[in-house]
Amino acid sequence: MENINWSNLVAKGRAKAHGVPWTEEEAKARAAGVSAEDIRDGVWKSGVVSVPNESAEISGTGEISGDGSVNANIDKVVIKKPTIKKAVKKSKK
Amino acid sequence: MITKSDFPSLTDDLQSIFNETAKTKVAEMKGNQIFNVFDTIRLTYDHLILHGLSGIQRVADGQDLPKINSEEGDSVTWTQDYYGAIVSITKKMRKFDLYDQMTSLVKSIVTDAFDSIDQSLADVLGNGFSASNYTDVYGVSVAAVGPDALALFSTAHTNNINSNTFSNIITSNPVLSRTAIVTARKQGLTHKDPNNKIRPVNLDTLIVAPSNEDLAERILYSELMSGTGNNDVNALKGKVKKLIVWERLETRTGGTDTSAYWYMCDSAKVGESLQCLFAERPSLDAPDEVYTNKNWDYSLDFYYAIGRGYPAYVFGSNASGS
Repeated sequence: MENINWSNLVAKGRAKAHGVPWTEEEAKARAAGVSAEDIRDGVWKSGVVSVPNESAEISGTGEISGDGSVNANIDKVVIKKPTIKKAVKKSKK
Repeated sequence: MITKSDFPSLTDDLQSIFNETAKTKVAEMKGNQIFNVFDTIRLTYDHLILHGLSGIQRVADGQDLPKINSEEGDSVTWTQDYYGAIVSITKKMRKFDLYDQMTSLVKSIVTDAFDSIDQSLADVLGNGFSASNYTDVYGVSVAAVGPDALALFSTAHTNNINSNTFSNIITSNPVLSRTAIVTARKQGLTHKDPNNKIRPVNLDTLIVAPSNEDLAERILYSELMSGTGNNDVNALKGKVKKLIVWERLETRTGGTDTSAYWYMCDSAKVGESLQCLFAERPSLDAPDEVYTNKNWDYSLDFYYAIGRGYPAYVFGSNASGS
C-alpha cells in the first residue's frame, strides 16, 4: 500500500483534491499554465483552456467564447507570457 | 498410512518440494530483473526523493566553498501488506498415502504465490498510463499514482521544487519500431532534472510482451537495418543491451489486452523508479499441532509492498499513437 503526501500536493496545485489526482489532460493544462483553482472550480473544462492573463497569446484554431475561455485542442495551444523587455518598454511610456 | 509420527518427515518432504518449485519460479520471474527487490524490517517504509545538490561554482583564491542545500523532492510511504493461504493435507491424503496429491497441492500453491507476485509487478507497468485505481491480481483496489500523484507514465510529471515538468511517455505513444526506440533513447538522453540540468537517462533495456518478441529481436540484434533494403549498419545493436520479454505484459489483470505496450528503462537507475520491498519472503510453515483425525494445515505466507519512486528512469508507450 502506498501513501503519498496529498496535503502537500493539493496545497501546491499538484493534485485536484486529497486522494484525487489530476487526469492526464488536466495535468497537461496545469503544465501549460492553467491555474489549479480554475480546474477545480470548473472554469477550465476538458478541451477548453482559459486565458491566464491579459497579455497571453493563443495560437491555434480555438474560438473565444463569451466567458473568456477558448475552445481549442490543448496540444495546439501556446501560451506566451510577457517578457521583461516588454514590461520595461511599457513602464517607459 | 501417514501417522502423527511421520509428521516431521512429511514436513521435510513438503519443504523440499517448496524449495524446488520456488527456485524454478524465481528464475522464471521477470519483475525482479526490473524492480529493485529488497528486504526490509519496517512495516512502513518512508521514501524521500532527493534531486541532489545543485550549485557547483568556480571557487576563487581564498574564497570558501559555497554551501548549498539538497533539493528535497516528494515523499511517499509504502506499507507492507500480508498475503497467504492454507495448504490442507487432508486425512484422506494421509490415510491412503496420496503423495501425488500432496506434492501437487504444494507445487500449485507455490506457483500461484510467485506468479501473483510477478503479475502484481507487471500490472504496475500495464496500468501505468492512467491515474485511476485498478484491481490488482489479489482482487484489491490499489492506487496507480506515484509520489507526484500522477500515473507512472505521464507527459507532465511534476516535482516539489518548481513548476518544471517532464514526460516519460515515449513521444506520441508509438507502436514498437526502430525509429520509436531511437526517439525514446533521445528523449531519455536529453532528460532534464527539476533544476533544468540535463541528467541523461540511458534507456538501455527494452521490455516487451511476447507479441512483440520477434520484432524486438530483429530491431535490436540485426547486423543491418531490419525490415529494409538499406545496407546501413544497425546502430542500435549494442546500445540497447538487454531485451526482457515479459509474458505477464501480454494481458493485464482484468483481461485488457496490453500486448502492444512497450517500455524502456535505464538498468542502472530504474531501481529508484520501481521498487518491491519484502518484509517476509514466501515460506511454507508447518502447523504447530497436528491431530490424527483432522487436516494438517500448512501455511504459505509473505509480506511485501510495491513502491513507485521518481519515475524518470522508466519510459513507456501504450502504442495508441496519440
